[in-house]
Amino acid sequence: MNMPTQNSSRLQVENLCKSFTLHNRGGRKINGFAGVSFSVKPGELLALTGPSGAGKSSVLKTIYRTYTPSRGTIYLDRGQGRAVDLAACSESEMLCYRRSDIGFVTQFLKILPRISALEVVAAPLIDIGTDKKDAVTRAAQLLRSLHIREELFSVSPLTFSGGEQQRINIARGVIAPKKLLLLDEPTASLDEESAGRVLTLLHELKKQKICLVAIFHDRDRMVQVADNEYHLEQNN
Amino acid sequence: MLLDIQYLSKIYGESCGHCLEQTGDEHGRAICPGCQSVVAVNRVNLRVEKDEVLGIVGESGSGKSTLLQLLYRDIKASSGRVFFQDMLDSDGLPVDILKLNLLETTVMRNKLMSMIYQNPRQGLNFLFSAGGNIAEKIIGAGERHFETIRSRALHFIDKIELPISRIDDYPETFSGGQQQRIQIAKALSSSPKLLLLDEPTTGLDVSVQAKILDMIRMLQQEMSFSMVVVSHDLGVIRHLTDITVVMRNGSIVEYGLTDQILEDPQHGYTQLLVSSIL
Amino acid sequence: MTETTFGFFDEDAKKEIRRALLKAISLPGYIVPFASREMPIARGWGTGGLQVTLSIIKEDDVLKVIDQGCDGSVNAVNIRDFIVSTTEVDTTSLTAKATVIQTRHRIPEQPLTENQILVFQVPVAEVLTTVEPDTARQKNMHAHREYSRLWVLLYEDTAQYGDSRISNRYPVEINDHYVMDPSPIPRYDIPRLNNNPALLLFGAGREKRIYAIPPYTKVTPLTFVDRDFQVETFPGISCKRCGTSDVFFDEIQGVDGTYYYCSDTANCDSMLNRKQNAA
Repeated sequence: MNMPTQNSSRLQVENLCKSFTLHNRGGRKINGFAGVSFSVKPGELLALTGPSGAGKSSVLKTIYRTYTPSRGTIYLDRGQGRAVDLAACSESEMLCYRRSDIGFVTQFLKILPRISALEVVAAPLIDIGTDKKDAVTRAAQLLRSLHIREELFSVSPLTFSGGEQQRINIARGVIAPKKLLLLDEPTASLDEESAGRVLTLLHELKKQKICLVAIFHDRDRMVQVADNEYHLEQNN
Repeated sequence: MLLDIQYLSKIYGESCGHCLEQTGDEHGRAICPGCQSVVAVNRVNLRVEKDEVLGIVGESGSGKSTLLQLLYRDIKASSGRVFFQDMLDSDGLPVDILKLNLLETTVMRNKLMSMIYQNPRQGLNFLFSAGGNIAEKIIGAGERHFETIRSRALHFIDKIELPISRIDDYPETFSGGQQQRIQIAKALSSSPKLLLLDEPTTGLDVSVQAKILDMIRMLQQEMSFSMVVVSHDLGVIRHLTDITVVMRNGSIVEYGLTDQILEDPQHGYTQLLVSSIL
Repeated sequence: MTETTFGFFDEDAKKEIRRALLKAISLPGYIVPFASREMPIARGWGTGGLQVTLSIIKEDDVLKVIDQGCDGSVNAVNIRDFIVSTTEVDTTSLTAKATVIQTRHRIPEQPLTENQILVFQVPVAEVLTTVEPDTARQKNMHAHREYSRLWVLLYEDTAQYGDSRISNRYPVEINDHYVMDPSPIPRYDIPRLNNNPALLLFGAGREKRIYAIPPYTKVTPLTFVDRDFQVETFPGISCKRCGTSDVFFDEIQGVDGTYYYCSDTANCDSMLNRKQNAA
């Protein structure tokens, strides 16, 4: 499986479509999005824009395989010319890519209520085999850089404010080195200062040649980090 | 590939020879119209990779528990083949574990895979102490040094957060949740490559259930084994698994990443199942 | 009324038992079913051993029968009398003189020879009964040498009491294969099963089972690698009657204390004789 070689993109999405069939509603079809094509180079941030309901979040979920793509290709360059089509790979392969290559910062933090903030953030590092102590040290550093108060480290993030939860979510998404990071409204519900820190973090990730696809609710914040923009139109 | 299941079937009753083609999800039935045999598992193909956690969901009678029991060889398969990584014969060829004799099955159960049953009475020998139950597994794997057996049993009692002073107590003196934890200790004491769990927390109250699921997850990360979890509870599936299989009428109707199954179910039955979450 | 045949049984009955015996000897430690007959004594009183003895005894054999090491106890006397009444063989209490010895729960102190057969009376033939009640599964477990549960019993006793609590019927592995019940002989006798020159036959009348240990067979009690098999010891104790030490003793509670007597009465007699002759 080879990625089209006309450019040096890390991620290349071609004619991606997603529709939902509701079998229990008489087979009713709902269109998510259609004909989405874009490419992102390493160290670039592509912002997905468009009206509410245009399918921005759905595009991210489809790249991550939380939604199964209906049509199209999603080529990810895994380095040394090894490109894979995320739209066609097996579930087991996708699981490996998720562990090693693809991060997803979802809109809302979905975690178990019994696990401390530090453990939540350290988990992706432990998943890829990092020593538990090192992972926790790294998680603590990251949380400090995002201005999470130390007394919260041992508490479940579900008791945190929306802004704090959002930062935990981001920390968890970026702690392990990835090739591609998908971010769904990373600065939503953050005050100016916290949002600023997140934007700084995104700049750093770009310097590390990580490829980013993000949705912003706030255009002002978006323009501070985005290199390109892909606009989705309402299609149904 | 750790486990490779090929065309695995289980028919209860005298088969007319056409049961498999006339039942399954596409026919909407598990009972053969020709001979009234019950096809509990119908030509299941499934692979489990190393460190992967696979969930099997489906309503009662869908064949999910039967599938697990076929893998653990608690019941005999009607047809199909199952291969396990590194299970090779003397010529280096893969061995079909459905063809193992009792001794080989015992070795397989003591070295490669372990099962945790819904009912601790199935997974534990109530005539043996907690430590004795763990010892049975370690002895079965060939250990004959008392001190080694004892220290490993103590290690696992500690791992499942029971006071080690209770190691010589008998299962009936423990609560249901504790019995389930002893089952976990027993299952893991032989460092299996694959853990099979049949409704591991069904019937336990929610706080105990959460604790046990957390413990299983933690141990899975620490000891890195693969798991196949059968549950009718999508909460358990979401908590534990990476990949989910949906079964109905003995067939697999959907296979996908667990978050995909829950957020973008493809099959009508899966959509119904997911929409039924409380 | 017809005259009794030699050895009580007709030839067909003997043949059936002998076939079971031959199979048992061919498969050391393997339990062979046989058609246990109604005997003139009640089941549970040594009918298994009796049937084995009657089917193998010949006119020129010399018979010894002991019960817990004693030639003179009621059961031993009755069984011996019965065998003699149907065979008219010579009897003896001297271990060395006997060619067939029927025993309940002991092995004579004096070492046996290749010319001797020791017949054990067995109450419970199946060693797995304590851990698996289902006979079909027991057979399967034997076939696959799946004895983990016996080891678990040993583990539990060792963990809680420092050693196995089994005082008799200690499980033994025969020729690195089957594990069997050696009948309720004390631990003291277990090492004496190993590499024994005599043919050892086991008969369980009530359970209709026969098994055997051929001469010079390896017999090992189940023991953890890092533990030694312990037998009963009687430090500083000697027989009140003959003065012998280093044998297996019976403990007798008298009004003025505990006395010890040789369990093997024939051995006690010869020790006493030797002492008196020396004096």
